[in-house]
Amino acid sequence: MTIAQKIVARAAGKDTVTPGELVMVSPDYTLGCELYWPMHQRHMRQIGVDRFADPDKVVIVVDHTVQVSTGSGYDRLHKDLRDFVHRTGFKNYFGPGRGGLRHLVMVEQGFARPGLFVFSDEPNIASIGAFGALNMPISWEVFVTMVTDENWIQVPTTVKINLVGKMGHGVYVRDLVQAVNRDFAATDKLLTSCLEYGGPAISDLSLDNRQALLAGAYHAGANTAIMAVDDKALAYVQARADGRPHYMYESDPDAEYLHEATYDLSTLEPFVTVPPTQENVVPVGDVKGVRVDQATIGSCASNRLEDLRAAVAILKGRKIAPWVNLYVSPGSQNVYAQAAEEGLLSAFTAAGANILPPGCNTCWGYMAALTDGEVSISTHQENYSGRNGSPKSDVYLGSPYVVAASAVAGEICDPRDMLTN
Amino acid sequence: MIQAFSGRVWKFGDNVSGDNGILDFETVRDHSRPFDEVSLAELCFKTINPDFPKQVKSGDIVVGGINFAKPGHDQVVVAIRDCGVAAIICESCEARFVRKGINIGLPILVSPGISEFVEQDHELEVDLTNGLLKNLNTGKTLQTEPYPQRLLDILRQGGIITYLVHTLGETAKPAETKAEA
Repeated sequence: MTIAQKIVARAAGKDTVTPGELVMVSPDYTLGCELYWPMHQRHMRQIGVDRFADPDKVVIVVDHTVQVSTGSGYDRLHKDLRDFVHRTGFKNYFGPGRGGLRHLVMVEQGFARPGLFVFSDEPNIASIGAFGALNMPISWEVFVTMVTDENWIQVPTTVKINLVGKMGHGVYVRDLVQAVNRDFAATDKLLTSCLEYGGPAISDLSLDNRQALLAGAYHAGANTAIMAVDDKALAYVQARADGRPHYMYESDPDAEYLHEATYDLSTLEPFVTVPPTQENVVPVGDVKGVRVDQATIGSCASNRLEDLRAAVAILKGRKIAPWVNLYVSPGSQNVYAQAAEEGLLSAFTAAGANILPPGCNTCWGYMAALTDGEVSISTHQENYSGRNGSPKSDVYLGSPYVVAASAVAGEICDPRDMLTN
Repeated sequence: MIQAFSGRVWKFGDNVSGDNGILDFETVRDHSRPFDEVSLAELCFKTINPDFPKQVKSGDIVVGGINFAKPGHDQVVVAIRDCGVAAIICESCEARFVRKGINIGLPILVSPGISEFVEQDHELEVDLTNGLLKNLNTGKTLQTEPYPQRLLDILRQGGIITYLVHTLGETAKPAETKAEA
């Protein structure tokens, strides 16, 4: 069995499982964001329950609407959620100012631990696989395990991608994500599978970059993603586990993979994904000179400390072009605080960037929406028409290096020209 | 939900996006709001095939290619159901897209070969229990994976919420007519 299949087997209380088999699982955690709360409340009334089956196994994070704007209607949702917290004593609630993106909260709070099975409402939460926890994305259906503590899944197949080689100057983990998207997004080779990353190059990747890699797996088509846990990841988990258990799994030598591929990181270069599809990935030089109106650093794939450091490596001592708005969304309160301590926030401020509160913000067009004819260069995950505002705007995707350099130049440009070796 | 039925085919191609094709993201984002209860049916497939929302009839069947409705938020499957569509059959889709359909009483079948098997306006017979598709125009059959019993049970109840009402016990209140999403 593969790592993912072993985790499913444990959650199902079985010794072995086979891909495609329908099993009932009891998750270690069920993770949701605030957007589904009104629906959860209606469904609770419909089935006649008023609290969670096992509240300690549920985590709810406010990340899409951290700031409630006038007229948005989310004020009522926030109040209803806080009233529930007050009434039931629900502990794992992370409201504005106490969390950030639920992807990061799971990790920072020690919920994401090796061998754990998590039902969540989003596939990008596969980032917790960097610590050996398996994200199984569903939808508002997270409600089912919130109130019953069990649900069905079909055991996923696994696709293996081996990583070898070292990334060159000015190349970033997002360029790897984009290369994988280029090769798989228009196919259905990864669909419904768990994408398992392995190989010698993993150990060179920081924990932040491993999360970014797995957060991007969905956009290549995968249902979820995972990797084996090494000493670096385990040390991070153990510092936050607070006595809670974990289970170390590796894929068996004879584990069956649906497909296998290898990427040599030394062959990568800075890429840009050209809208509106994920597979349209080109070397940055191919779109050099495209004028940009907006640049954004954030999203669940590029809002960690390492990403902010990469952007600042370009921005330090430089100013962004006067016609560009640069928005930065730190991924969590912790990232925000550490970025302040390291002087990253002052570097962003000096360059003329607008720092937003930790949250999804620009990535789903909730803030800083684009208008007709505007062009954005972004570390977001999605680039389809209308995602960040007007359907007549364009969203190009790139690494924090590419985005920061393009914000300075006022047009898409190669970051290697601005990075010192 | 009946376990064998037939309907007119609406055929779509490969990589039809849910959020930027079947619907548009502005609609999807707006309907993240808790207070909107507008039917999405009139917007469904509007930009891909303007005839669809005008002419689709209750019991029709949507046929899609690979990566059908990806990416697609919950509103996409609700919109298709609200058109009266009886089933979606596609070459491939996300695992959670199938779940989203089952959860609101709309069967979604992954059936490799379906694009070659039917054409627009063909009459397709679907037998969920046995996983058997029959093209009533050509007389040909296509075997697909039958639905596991548990999923048939959820579909029979009209979705996961009414299923939970029935399975969680006698103290539960009567179900409303359909699950909301």
